[in-house]
Amino acid sequence: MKKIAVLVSAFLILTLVAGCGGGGNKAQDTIVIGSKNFTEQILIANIVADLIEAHTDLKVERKTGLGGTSVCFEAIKRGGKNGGIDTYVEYTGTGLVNLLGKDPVTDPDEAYRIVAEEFKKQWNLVWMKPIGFNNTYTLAVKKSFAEERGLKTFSDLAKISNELVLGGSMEFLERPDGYPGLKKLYNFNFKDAKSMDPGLMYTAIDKDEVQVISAFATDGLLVRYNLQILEDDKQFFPPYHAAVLIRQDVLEKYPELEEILNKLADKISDEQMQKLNYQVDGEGKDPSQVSKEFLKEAGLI
Amino acid sequence: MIKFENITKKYGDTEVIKGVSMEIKDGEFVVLIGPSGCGKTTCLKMINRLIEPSSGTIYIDGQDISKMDPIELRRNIGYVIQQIGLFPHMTVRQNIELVPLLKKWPKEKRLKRVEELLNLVGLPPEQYMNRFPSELSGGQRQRVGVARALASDPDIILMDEPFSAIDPIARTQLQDELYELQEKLKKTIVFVTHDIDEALKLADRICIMRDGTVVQFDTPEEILKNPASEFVENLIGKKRIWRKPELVSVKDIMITNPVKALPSRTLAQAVEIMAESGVDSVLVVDGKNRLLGIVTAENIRKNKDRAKKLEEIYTRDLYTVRPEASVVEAFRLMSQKKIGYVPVVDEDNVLQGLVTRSTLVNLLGENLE
Amino acid sequence: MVSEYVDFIVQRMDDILLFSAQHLQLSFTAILIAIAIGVPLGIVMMMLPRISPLILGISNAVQAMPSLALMGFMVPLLGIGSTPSIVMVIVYALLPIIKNTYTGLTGIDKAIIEAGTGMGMTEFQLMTMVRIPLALPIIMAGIRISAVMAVGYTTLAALIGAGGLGQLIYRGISMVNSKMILAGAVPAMVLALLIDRLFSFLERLVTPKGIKL
Repeated sequence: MKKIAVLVSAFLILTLVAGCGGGGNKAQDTIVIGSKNFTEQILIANIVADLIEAHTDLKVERKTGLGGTSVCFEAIKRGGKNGGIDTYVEYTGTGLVNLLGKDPVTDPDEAYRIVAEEFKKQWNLVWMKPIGFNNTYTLAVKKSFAEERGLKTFSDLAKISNELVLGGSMEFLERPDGYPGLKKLYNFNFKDAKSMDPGLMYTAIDKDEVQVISAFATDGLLVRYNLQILEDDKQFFPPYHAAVLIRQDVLEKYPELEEILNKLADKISDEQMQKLNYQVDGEGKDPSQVSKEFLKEAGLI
Repeated sequence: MIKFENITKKYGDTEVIKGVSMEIKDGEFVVLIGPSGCGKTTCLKMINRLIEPSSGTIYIDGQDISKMDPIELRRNIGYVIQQIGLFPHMTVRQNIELVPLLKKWPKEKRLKRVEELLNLVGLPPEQYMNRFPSELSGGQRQRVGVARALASDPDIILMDEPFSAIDPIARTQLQDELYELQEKLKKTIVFVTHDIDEALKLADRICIMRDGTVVQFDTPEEILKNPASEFVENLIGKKRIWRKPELVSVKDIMITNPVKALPSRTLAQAVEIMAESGVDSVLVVDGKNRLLGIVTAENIRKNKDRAKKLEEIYTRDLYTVRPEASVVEAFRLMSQKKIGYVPVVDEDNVLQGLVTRSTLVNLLGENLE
Repeated sequence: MVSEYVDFIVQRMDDILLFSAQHLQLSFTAILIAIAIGVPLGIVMMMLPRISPLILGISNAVQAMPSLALMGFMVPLLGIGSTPSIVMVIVYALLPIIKNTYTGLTGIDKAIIEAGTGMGMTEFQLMTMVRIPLALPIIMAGIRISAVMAVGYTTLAALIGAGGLGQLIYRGISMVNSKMILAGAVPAMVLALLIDRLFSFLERLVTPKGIKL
């Protein structure tokens, strides 16, 4: 019995000691910002957070690096007060196809109109104005490889696809507006399609384990690994314009947020986003540092 | 007094006890014996309600035990089982004082009791109290088991084949000790065994069981003289020779490898030798195995200086018998001289073996005296 | 290469320490709760042998569920942050604790239990004075396995916003930054080893003297 008491107290002490570092209570006026677990998301979440902090007295809690769209979406539906999040940056295409389950739409304005309307109706979530860049899916090959084989478009790639192995994120290989649809439209016939973590795809193509990877148009790693984006000549991929998604009740409670968040409208182009991403992925800068520098340069803080 | 009244026990359709009635008197040593599956252990475990009868009543001192609190009942009955059953995580002391602890005896009283009991079973308390069971020999463990059963001074002690897992030499020794202990304590002991030698040696009365019924319940002599059935005759078969003990010589029954030591051994070593074999005396022999004398644990206990040699303290004058002598002769010698054992030596005084009194007493029965 | 890594570690020391502390806290909380659930469940299994296959079956099935799938279920139910991460780690840590508690309690020599019962110990006394002390080393071994596993599973906590060393690992993977991956993985490994050491020490501490080998 004595031994059990010793054990229990040992555990308690350790937990307490370990406890010094973690946790933290939510003060009353706190906004919880989430992000998915890739660089662009972490970066843009930092930008949104810094912007809110600079212009309001609200406390901002950053829950970046959440495991994918579904985690972020479920979390925002719960809200920051209930252990979820209040806002994160979502892409119109993802909202339309994955979250609403609708067919892809090629017109960006139409896509935005539908998600804005439906999200409000179904979940009381509000889409702020698009930030500007369109982080659509695309396919990338090594620059040297593209030159050697004269590849410019998806259609060019389709002709030699039976010699190549494709590496794609799990999401890309699964979703109907990803590889399955793309394959039908362009008649792709890859030797193999391997699913892997987005981060690992770049190592894989660098080591020539795969020759084609799915990529996001704004990905900084494209620059770092010298990859060439091919053109979606049949316009298969729907637009993926990024915009801040926020809970209606939070916006009602802090109406000043609307104006502040809309300061980001059309502020970041595809190229700019690629460059910002590269600063983190290529130059190894900290996302919070890149965010602050960007906001200052853009005169937003 | 323990009284079984029409006890039956069924497991499903199988009746393992088929109407047993018997009485065990206070202070009596009763051995239950029979082939495996005869119901002897079942009967034993009914006394402390580890098994409940299907019908019939068991009384202890006139009280129906099915109406008693089983926990309370068990705490007042000593229990020793076959595979020792000592708690390996508790010291000898903790094992022995468990029931007194459950009965909430004060600490000093418990400690006193532990010391008393360890002395009683021949394990010096200061040496053994804080050992763990894994640090004891089989014989020593079983002694602790007996001490534990005696701890709260119960009137009744149940022993379920307590010595069956112990090597033959230590077993004989333990049987002798138990017999002596019973002479002193006069407990009511119910003892289960499948070994007829053990039964004849220890019992006041033997209860022979077969297929869930009692075949014969009588004194050892009566069973030897008048077996109730062929089954009983077969059970005691090889023992029938003891009805003509004059024909049996000492060498047929002696222990052939008694515990011995050279005179140059120290007392500390002798203690170790005794502890290892679970005995309380050691014969002193020279390099040619010629008997010189004997040293008992008692002798050693009186000597504080454990570095002393055996040759300084052993008892030189002791009685011996020849291997060819009849057991009757050996028995007479022991009775006359009031000694518990006698070494067996040949004409050159070379040690051949050892005969103990309790073996003889029980094998021969009382008709010799 | 090595010095680059060291530079990186030094530069990120604050993060690493903070994340390690979060990591430890999450793991320990989960282990504590898993013990609080698992040990009694093992005891219940021993006392009610009829339901033991059920309990064992459920915990086996849950254990076999892929962790990301479990996380997918957890977020709609519990949101994000430490609660769902701890629950997830508990779910994985339970099985070895339940199993070892059950094995430890039932594996005790029947003769010892019979001796205890025959001496008039109540079920409760038998449990606290005999079964648990004798089973403790085996229970602790189960807890040790769970604890080491828990440290590993806690890296997943980063994916549901609970922090911990997983943050460095997953961020490192998404940035293809092996220094950052190592900055998370190496401390996680060290933590796992330390916890293994700590628990094997506790295991030895609780082993009754009489049954030490």
